[in-house]
Amino acid sequence: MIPVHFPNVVYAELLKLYTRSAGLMTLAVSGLVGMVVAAVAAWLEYGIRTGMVQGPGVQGDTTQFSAILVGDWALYGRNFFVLPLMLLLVTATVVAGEYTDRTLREVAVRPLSRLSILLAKLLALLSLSALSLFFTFGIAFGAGLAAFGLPASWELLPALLAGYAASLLSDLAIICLGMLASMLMGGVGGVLISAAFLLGADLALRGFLTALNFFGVSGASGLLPWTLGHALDVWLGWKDGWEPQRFIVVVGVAIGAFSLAQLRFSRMDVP
Amino acid sequence: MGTHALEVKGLVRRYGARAAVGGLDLVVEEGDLYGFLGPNGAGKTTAIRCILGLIRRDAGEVQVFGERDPVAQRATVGAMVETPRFYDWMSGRENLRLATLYAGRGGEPDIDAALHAVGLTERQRDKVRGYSLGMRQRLGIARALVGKPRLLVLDEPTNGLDPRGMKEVRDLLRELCRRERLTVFLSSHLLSEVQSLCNRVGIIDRGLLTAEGEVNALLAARGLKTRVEIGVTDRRAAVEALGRVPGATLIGDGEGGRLVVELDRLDAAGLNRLLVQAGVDLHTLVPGTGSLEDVYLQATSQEAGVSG
Ligand SMILES: Nc1ncnc2c1ncn2[C@@H]1O[C@H](COP(=O)(O)OP(=O)(O)OP(=O)(O)O)[C@@H](O)[C@H]1O
Ligand SMILES: [Mg+2]
Repeated sequence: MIPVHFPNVVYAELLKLYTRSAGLMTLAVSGLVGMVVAAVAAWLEYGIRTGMVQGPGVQGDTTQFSAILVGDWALYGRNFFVLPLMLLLVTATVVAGEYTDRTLREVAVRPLSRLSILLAKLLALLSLSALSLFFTFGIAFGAGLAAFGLPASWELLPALLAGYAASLLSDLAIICLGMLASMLMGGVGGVLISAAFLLGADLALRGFLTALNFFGVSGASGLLPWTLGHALDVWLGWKDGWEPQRFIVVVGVAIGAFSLAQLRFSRMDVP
Repeated sequence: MGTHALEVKGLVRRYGARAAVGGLDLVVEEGDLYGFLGPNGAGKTTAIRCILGLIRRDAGEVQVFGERDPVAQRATVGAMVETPRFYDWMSGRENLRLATLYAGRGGEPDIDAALHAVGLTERQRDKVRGYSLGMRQRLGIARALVGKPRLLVLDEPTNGLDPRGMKEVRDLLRELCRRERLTVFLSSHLLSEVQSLCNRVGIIDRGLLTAEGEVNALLAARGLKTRVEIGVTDRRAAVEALGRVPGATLIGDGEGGRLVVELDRLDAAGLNRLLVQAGVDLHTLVPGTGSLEDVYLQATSQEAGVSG
């Protein structure tokens, strides 16, 4: 199923991904998130130090500001909508987009199984996710060091880095869902709409479960950790404690979505 | 039975209730320049897509150099289907480079050779976005060539090319066939192109092969003879002389006042010699496509892919 020249195929996908505007834009936005978050932190710290910003718990105390805090905020900034959306867009461009603009045909006439084509795309997209995390962290942390100097304690750094690493899993699930949507919808717009639909449905489900819980229905709260949106936030575990359910769901969704996408792709006409 | 370059047996592809290809059988021998002829909507592109494994087939079998596995088959095939598409933010050369990566065969020398063969060496560094229709078509042919193929499958390769481009592509295909022992399977609806280029033809109509064979054998089997059109200075003398030349029959008038002559066991050079001997000077001698046209018209229906 996987040919000996598979590394060449992955290399070709990388060459395309890192020259097309959607891929470059993703990297640029990743860096931007780090930069913006660092700037906001520096501004806040300055405000608090000079008494411009006041409030309960602030009281002129700026000891909490550090490069690690900036890295923490940048992880939130990245994972709330911005980068997942960009990755979804890139996935849609690379899979659904190549199907609609017919360039997928030029790959499909080569001695490659459909599985190896999809797998090469998955690996290229995962590299983009990893590089994006690296950019966000590197720039946020670097700017944090420049603004606040060396952190007083390095204790939290390994956990924060684990949070970044876990984001790779959320990204993986999103990429696989994007691939499945690409196979079913056959258009970049369709992928974005179906993703919005899926996340909306998940949000509704979580709202429903929370309501049931509120009215005392037993078992409802037990289901909450198994919902998609909750699982996609697996990276939050670096602060809240790692939940095995999240890992199970996020990996299960990734494997399931990729398998279904491959099943569909292997039978699909590539015009 | 030796292995054929391409063998298709009982190929069926349906769209809804309509069979776009309804049980196609054909054989292409190694070294053939095979012309796949048929009217619009006959099923040429659909058959080619099935052969390449791009689309599902409902029945049938395809072998390429005896290989049955569809993925392994494509290792020896270079293909161009309909209008070729490219990563158009990249240069022509970069697109060919990607093609060699996906093929797992071919390198920089093959890319140079392919670019040279289609006359794109000068523009190779330009982004494909800025290429004209004909340049894209040429690049598509180059892309089919870069992976060291043994069989070329080309869907209307001269589509969109200017007259010089058409001739260059025909010359290129002939040369590849002769020099690199490449086998070429090309679809077309240009009769003159197929007649001047191909040694074998298959005619498809409404998804079925209605005639197949060597061009000459096909003509003979149908009782059709080669036709030529001749332009003469002295029409009356020519008509008279034609009556005395064995194997030549005057059929009627062609374009530009030329005479249409049907030949039987006589070629154009022979006719010329005999007429000159009879004291008639020819100023033009045009090989007629009328002959293959007749086979084609007999083998295809009137309406373009509408029924079925
Ligand atoms: N995706 C499709 N869905 C439905 N019908 C299709 C599809 N593709 C092709 N067909 C039908 O199959 C038949 C054959 O089409 P095909 O494109 O193979 O013809 P062709 O011989 O290549 O014609 P042309 O000379 O115009 O390129 C036509 O009747 C066409 O309408
Ligand atoms: Mg066609």
